[in-house]
Amino acid sequence: MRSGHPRRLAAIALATAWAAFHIPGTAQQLPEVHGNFSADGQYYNDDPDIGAVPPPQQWGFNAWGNVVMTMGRFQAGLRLESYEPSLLGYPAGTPYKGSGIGYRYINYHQADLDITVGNFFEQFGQGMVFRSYEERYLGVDNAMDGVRVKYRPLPGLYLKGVMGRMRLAFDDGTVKGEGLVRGADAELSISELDSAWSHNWNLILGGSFVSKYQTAASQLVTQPDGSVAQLEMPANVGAWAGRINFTSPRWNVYAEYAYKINDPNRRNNYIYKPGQGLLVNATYSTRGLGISVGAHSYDNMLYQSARNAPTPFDLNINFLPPLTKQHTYNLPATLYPYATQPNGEVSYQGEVFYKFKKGTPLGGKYGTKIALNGSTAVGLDTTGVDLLTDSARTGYRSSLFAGNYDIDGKYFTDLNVELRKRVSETWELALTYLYFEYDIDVIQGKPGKPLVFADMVVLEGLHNFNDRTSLRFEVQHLWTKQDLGNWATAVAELTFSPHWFVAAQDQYNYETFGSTFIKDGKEVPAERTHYPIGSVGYIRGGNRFQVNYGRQRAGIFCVGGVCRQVPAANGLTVSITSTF
Amino acid sequence: MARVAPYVNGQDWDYEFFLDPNGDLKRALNVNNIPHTFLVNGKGEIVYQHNNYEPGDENELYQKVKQAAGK
Repeated sequence: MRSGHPRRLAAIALATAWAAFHIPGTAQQLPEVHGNFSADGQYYNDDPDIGAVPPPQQWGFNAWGNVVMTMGRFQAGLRLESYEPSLLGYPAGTPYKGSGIGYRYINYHQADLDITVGNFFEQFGQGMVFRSYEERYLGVDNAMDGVRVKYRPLPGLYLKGVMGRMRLAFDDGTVKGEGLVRGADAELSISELDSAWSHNWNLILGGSFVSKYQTAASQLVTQPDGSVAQLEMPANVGAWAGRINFTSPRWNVYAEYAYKINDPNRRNNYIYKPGQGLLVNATYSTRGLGISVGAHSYDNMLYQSARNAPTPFDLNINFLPPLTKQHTYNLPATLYPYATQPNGEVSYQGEVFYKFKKGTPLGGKYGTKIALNGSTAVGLDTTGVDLLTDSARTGYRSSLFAGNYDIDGKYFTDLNVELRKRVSETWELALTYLYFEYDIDVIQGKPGKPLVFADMVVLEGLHNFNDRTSLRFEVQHLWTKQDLGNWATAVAELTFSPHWFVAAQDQYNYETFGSTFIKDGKEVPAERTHYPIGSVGYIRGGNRFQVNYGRQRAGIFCVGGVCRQVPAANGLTVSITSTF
Repeated sequence: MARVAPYVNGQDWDYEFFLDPNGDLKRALNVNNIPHTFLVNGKGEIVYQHNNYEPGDENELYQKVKQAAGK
């Protein structure tokens, strides 16, 4: 971090944002109104060759608009949403339908106090015991509905308290989960305690406690021998976390530990074992060089505010940060993306960015950038405890960072290197190689699917014809003997700054090695398949209008280690977004 | 989140960067999708915004910065 730490930086940035909305103290203070709008409509064609089945309405439509009114120390916000019906594969968890109010709040803030009533998003530390957040285009939204108070009793000490219920789904308005979530967080930033602080390093300490409440109930569970046991579910389930962060101009070292008391739920087979997690990362950087290493281990840390939540994407109280790199090139990003395994994983990551300076042998005339990244995730090495004889019903024995390094414990490996270089005044090239090992069975929850070994190469080029007109292209290839076999992808994007772009893409699954897919309800051998798609976009200020037509491959769409499956589709998509 | 500093430094980019870990700033500015550019003048007013990025957009931004600075 070049200056300060994320918490404080976010606060500064927010203050800047608020300042932007305020008319400085005039005699008559007028409210300011801002907002945004987003709509995505898709008309679906029937396309059995890729397994695309249109919904009965023939189309999908997701839209929402936010209005935020600010006056002095007060702010109020409202979001209306409409899913008539929702796009195929949207959202990640329990379905959304109908139109209505999705989010509303009132807020009062002054220098040291901030109170919100209604909906809000909040995160403690990196989120290991509490994170309420949204990724609207992914269909993730676990907004709280209740009360939040943030208070700074003295410079450098930040206190937060939250209470409320989380958004589960949408049915002509937000549908909330049953469980009540309550939490408190304290953070101490040493360098802010004394305004005379002259060191350029800082130490930040934080601690959180969160508890969920759901009516106590009996749960019938099928035992390994086929008998049925009646278990008593706890009403209150608490979790706590502690964190430490050291920052200096070159270093940033962060560690967070979280612990959750017994939380029997549908996804851990109603065991009473406590959950825990530890994450550590360290970065060192200076001009032209950046190094990052990280490790984490999570054990039984899925923490949902309903013990029988319909899907793993619903009502998550916490967020377990991923270590794996989120790729942006289409094939690695959507065929084999990793998703954090909250019930048990050990993961390591290392990354180096380096720039060979201009005028050096490897830097040449314009400099050369290299990025090396590697990450791996394995399951925990567990020893089962017999559920029939163990009255505590702990399920298994395990230790953090004791991974299962056998082939059946391997979840994911990603080794990649990228070289990026401006080769002339008008050309820039990037070459990337990636190697993946990917367990579809565990990561996508598809039992019987193989461990995939894949190699990928991507060449990207950017050519500037003049100040305003550019062509960007990508050529991608993926080799694997497993799953769907080999893929080739080409992308071309012509841009006319600042308003227009035209893009075309084709993905070609040209060597299928006997893989199968579902056509008209039957499993048939996969054939060579093209997935062409074209786009035209117009951007003006804060408004964007885009039209796509073509085939979309069934795949996975991820943000921050959280993923949703997108079914195959063929059709016309129209998108409008606006910020005002 | 922690990987941002090494990335920015590794690119040899010479400007300040700030993080928005839970999207609070994004919500405050009503941003739908990133990247999104705002130009704020000395009075704290937004005088220009542009969604998306295409090569060459920086030329328009540069003109707007000069305008805002009265040059």
